[in-house]
Amino acid sequence: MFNKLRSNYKLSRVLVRIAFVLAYMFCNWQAGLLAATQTCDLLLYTSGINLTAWCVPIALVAQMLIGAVLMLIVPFLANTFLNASRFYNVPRAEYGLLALLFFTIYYLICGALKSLNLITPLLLVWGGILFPVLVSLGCTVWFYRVTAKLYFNDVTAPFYFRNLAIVYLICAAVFGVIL
Amino acid sequence: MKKFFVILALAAICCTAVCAVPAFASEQSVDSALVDEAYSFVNELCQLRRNDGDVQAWLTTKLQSILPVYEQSFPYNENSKGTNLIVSVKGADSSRKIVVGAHYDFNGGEGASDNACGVAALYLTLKQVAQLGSMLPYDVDFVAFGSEEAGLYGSQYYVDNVSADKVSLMINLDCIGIGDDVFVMCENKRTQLADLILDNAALPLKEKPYAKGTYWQYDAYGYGYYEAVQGSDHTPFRLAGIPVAFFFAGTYSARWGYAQSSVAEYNVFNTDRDTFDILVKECPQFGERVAGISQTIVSTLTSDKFAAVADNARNELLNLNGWYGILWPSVAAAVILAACAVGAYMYHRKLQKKALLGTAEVKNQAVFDKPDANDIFSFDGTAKGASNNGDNAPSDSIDDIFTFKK
Repeated sequence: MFNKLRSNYKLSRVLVRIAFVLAYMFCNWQAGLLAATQTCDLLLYTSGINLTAWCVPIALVAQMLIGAVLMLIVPFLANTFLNASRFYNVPRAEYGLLALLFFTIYYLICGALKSLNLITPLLLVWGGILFPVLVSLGCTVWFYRVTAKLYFNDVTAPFYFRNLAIVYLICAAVFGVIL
Repeated sequence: MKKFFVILALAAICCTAVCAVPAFASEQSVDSALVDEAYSFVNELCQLRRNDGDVQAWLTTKLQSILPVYEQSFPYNENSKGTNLIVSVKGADSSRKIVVGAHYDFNGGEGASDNACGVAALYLTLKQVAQLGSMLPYDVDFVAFGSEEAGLYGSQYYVDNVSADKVSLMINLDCIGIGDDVFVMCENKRTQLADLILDNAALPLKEKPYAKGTYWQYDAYGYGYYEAVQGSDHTPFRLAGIPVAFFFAGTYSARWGYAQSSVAEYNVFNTDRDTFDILVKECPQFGERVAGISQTIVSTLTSDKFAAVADNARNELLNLNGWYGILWPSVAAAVILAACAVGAYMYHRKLQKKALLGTAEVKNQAVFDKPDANDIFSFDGTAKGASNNGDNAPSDSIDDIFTFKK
């Protein structure tokens, strides 16, 4: 199965993209549902339009669209990172696909952890901030190990590690701590 | 087999009978004299508003007919002043205080549902409580708040000028007229206070459903694990760490939130349609609701269990304030990231040392052993995806791409 996928790049790309969108929806359905219900409430109060029965489909479609947009943005950002770091020997499309794959894993783990909120509120407050930071840390380390093994030698690996670490720390600090 | 099904059916009926706890367990019925009084009170208040009468003076007179009124003035804009009307009733123990409140200002129409009905319930509760005297365990302040619609100014001013430690509980009455059901909200979990109120309910009363999980976001009011809070006069009290019980009418779902009604045209509050005529038309039972809620509050305040429950109510508050909810987890995340930065720096040094002795061999490993030439660039001089061996098969191979041959 895996070997078949390795020999079929296009199929792999389609599957990874679908998995990415589904994982994003799985991770963010609670926030999406909250936003959709609040919007439906607002519509009900301001214009009398009652869309409350459509909240769930609206939330799903909105999450799917956001996931689809991110699906396009992530490889672009990966490409930008490679360009800015001057790593010209790395196959861009493949690297972007791997980035998507690791984001998929990140969203799946975060979604599973967020599902705990349905059972208990104990992890909601601290978990809401710490889980994404810890899971993204694990995924980034894993991503580095895989890509460094594939594309970088002993001389180029330190530069790659340094740049990836800087990008991760800045993103984690901005999105995980400050915002 | 038949016997089995009969036994199963009987068991199901028994379970249903046992499990089906009524929304209100009290056997007391709503006093018809109070219902009539509620009707005429709301009618009179709406009429006054319709004719631009002095609502504050009228309400002061009404309250003063029962007990003396203290007028608490407060500024809320550069040129505006509001007034809280406070009536204090002495209880057996004056070291603690209960606050029962409803706002008397309005926004849109005649404010029939929002909040003439609440003020009527406040008035009827005061009237009943005033006759009880020392039967009350603690002092009770009945407060008709001003300037709620402008931004909770009246209740905020009251909280700012009262010893918060002294107040055991705040009961708020807002929008109790039109609405599919009557709810009481205490904390986002089961509490003794909510149970006591439901036990003493004189009308079909529900506890607002807890929003577990679905409403995971942190809201601006400091409730933490909660849905978006309906901003009303109880909010400043809850933010000061005072337990609250909030009576309101509407329809509520943990899935899609709060509205007055599932029927769009019944959602009248803060609109020009919040009039007495529409209140009578859409909610003819509003008198029962107002009187029933007032009776519920009186029964709760005079319950044998009330003092113990009120004393313990603070212990049942969710400890999820802003500092706990946002600052400390963020600090913890920042510490983790700082540790990561140190670890990354040390690992980078290690990699640099390794690089000195390492080889700069070209890595030509790739995940896909037959990459698609349209997606991966090549250095073989042909156009992407073009064939260079006569057939239509993609010509690029792993060697073409990563070894710069040809």
